[in-house]
Amino acid sequence: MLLCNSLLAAEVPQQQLFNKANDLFRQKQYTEAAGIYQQLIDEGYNQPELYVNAGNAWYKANRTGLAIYNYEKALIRNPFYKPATHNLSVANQRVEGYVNDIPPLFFQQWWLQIQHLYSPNGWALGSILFFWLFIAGIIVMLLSPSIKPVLIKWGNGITGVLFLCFISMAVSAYVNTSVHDTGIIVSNAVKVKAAPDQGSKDIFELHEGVKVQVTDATQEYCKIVLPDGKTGWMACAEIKRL
Amino acid sequence: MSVLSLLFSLGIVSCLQAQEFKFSTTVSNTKVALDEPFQIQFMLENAPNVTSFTPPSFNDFEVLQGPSQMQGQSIMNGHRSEYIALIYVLQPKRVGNFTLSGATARTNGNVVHSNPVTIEVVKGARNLGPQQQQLPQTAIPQSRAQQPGRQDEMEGVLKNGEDVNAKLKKNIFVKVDVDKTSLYEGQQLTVTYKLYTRLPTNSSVTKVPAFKGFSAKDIELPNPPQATEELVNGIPFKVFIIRKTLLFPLQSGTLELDPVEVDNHVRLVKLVKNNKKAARDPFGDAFNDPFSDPFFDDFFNRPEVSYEDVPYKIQTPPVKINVKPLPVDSRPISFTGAVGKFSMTATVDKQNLSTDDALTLKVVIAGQGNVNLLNAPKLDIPSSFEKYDPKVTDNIEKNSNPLSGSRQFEFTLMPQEAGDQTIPPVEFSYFDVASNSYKTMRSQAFKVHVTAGKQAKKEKEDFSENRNTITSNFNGQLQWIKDQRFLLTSPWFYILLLLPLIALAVALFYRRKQDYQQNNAAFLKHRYANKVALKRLELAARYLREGKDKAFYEETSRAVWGYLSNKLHIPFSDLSKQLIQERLSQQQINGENTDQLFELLDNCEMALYTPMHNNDKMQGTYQQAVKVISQLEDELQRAKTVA
Repeated sequence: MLLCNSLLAAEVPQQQLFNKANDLFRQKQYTEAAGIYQQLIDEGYNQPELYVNAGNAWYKANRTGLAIYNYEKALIRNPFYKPATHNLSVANQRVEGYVNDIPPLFFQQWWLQIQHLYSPNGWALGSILFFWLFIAGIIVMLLSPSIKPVLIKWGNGITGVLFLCFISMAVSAYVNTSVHDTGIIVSNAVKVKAAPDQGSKDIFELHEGVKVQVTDATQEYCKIVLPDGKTGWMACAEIKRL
Repeated sequence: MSVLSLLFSLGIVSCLQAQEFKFSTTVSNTKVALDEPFQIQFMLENAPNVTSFTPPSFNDFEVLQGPSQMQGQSIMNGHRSEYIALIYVLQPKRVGNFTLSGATARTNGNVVHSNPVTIEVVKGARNLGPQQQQLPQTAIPQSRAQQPGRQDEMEGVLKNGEDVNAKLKKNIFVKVDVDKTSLYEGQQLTVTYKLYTRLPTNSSVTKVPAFKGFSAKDIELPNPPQATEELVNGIPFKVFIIRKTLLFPLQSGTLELDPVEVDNHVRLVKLVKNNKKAARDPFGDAFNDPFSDPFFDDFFNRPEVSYEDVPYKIQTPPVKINVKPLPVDSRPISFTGAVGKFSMTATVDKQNLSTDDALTLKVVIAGQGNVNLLNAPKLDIPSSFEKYDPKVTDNIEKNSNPLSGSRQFEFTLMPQEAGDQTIPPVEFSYFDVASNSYKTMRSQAFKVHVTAGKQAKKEKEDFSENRNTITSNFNGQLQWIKDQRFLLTSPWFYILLLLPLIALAVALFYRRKQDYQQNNAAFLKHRYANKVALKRLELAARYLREGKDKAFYEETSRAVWGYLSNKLHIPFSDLSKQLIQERLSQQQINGENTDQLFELLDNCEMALYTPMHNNDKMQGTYQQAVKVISQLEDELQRAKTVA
């Protein structure tokens, strides 16, 4: 079974590409390796391992911004993927003006853990399943009153609550992944301006790899907020949205 | 004067246990030419408390120099001995054979005599010239080994009219010894810097060579430096090794060895002849010098002695070394610069391991040559192993010449993939100077069986190890599945949510139907009858709402009659109370219903003829009509099913 599995996987062209990129990485051709990883990511594969490898390659190629971007991506996929957290902290050491993130509080941690118990689609499927069970319970109650009504009632209550939980989690997961309001600065040094136009005055400067919150955007300029509350406008091209 | 005081003080110093006492006379040459000076030496060995010393009378000789006095200690075979020597330089006055009777000395109160010597004085001094030159060197050949210090001290005497510089130049120099001047890159060159001296000197090395272009390895020298003796042009010199270094040229071409600079402070004894004074007034000295012995004074032509420290700086001449490059054309790929003669062993520490373990490949290169410069052999490790830089351990024999020892390289290999792996043979090449060719050695290949380990363990270790390096890549298999669209946004999600609702609706409908069939069929029938009544009374209800009482009663009456004619199949014109009663009883409808029916019909007729506007009553009549028709309907239905 395992052998068959690995054989199958070896035949997959994506795995071949992935192995090739790993080889390039070992030969210290980091930019080339990163290119291949990026290509795989662009094709729509988003395994955290793939993101971490891409991040490693960019890190070694001295593109800290892109490295951090990929590590963050991996963490969005799986916030408990250890290599990603570790490498992100290593990469952040290179970031000029990096302020340590406050580690999430225990309940935030729990929330994260609960949120990543299932994939967004898993939550949706679960909600469907529980809805079916809930309705099935009601139907049973309607059609065969001979079964103990107390038991059915409790069962219905539980499945109903679970359905509500699952559907709300599915919605929140969907919202989480489809909102792109944070970004990583990928250019070397960026001047942050007071207003969204070229002529306005520079307020401060940001360096590659800094994580910013994007709150507003025009065609060309994005309004950003830093964790310390500073706001300003900068060219959207210099931010890679997560 | 001072010579004598030294003599006396010696008596106190040499109170150590005396070894064999010896008092001897030696001459540098027993056959001398007439005008040739020669040396005579009286030596007192292990003589305690020398209180007086009387030389023999040199009647037939002229004292050119002396007495110069010398003393010292020597340790031979663990026995300590002391000696005092008095040296005269004499020149014969006449030709012939002369016997010099031995000197007389008093030690510990005993009078001792040295052996007499016979000197043959010949004419024709010129032809003995070469011999004269040799004289200082051969003066005391037999006793040199016993008293190594004596020679220097003798040379330390600056004779009258001697040039200080010339003397220094002759007696002190430094020299570079190289074992070869032409060699290959990386071949060993032994360089020895030596100080040759015949004079007592206090020397310090002020400039140490840097050996540019070489890798140097010093040989440790004994401290304090030990002198050896060496003959240079037949003259014995004391030799001190300043520095001994093994050099390995790092580049080809002509390299120069830097000079060594030595600062010397040479102590020279200056003698001034004092013959006249001694001859004129033998007692004069006694008067001036309370320590002198008048007896001595008569015979000693004591010179004035003074010491002088002469600084003297010397340098080695530069030495040029021609370094040949190693031949290029026949150079093996595995050559990394080893020159000499080596052997190599390579071992792996385990044959079976898991991917969690590390494999150690140990390569030991041992032999003679530039061991300290050996580079790690190039390893052709398959990519399924992660290779780390080797750990290098040296084991070089101390002070070995030629340099020999071993260097050990420990390569740590981390297997990345499970399976049977082969590590190709380790190859090592060196240049053998003796045969002028490259030699290559090869170990056997290593077969290693790697089993899969727990990858997680390795990763954990990685984290704890370095907080500043990123973790290694994920190299395993990935599930190449793209993310599906969000289910939440697809219509299927809603369809799937709707499906059970539909099922619920169906269930509800089914349940209703069941209820109707099982429990409430009668009620429903009654409801049907009621419905019939209500339909018949539809118009009546409208008149009731509009308050048209006459029309209402008429309509109610007609509706009831109409109903009866319809249900009992009696033509409208034939209807009469009697007939109805008859028919109803025929159908076994109980009388109460019939009574109510007639009462209603009566009420309606009454109301028609005695009109009074009373809404409540109309309402009551309506209700009654509905009830009666419903009941009749039910009864008739039942009667029908029974029939």
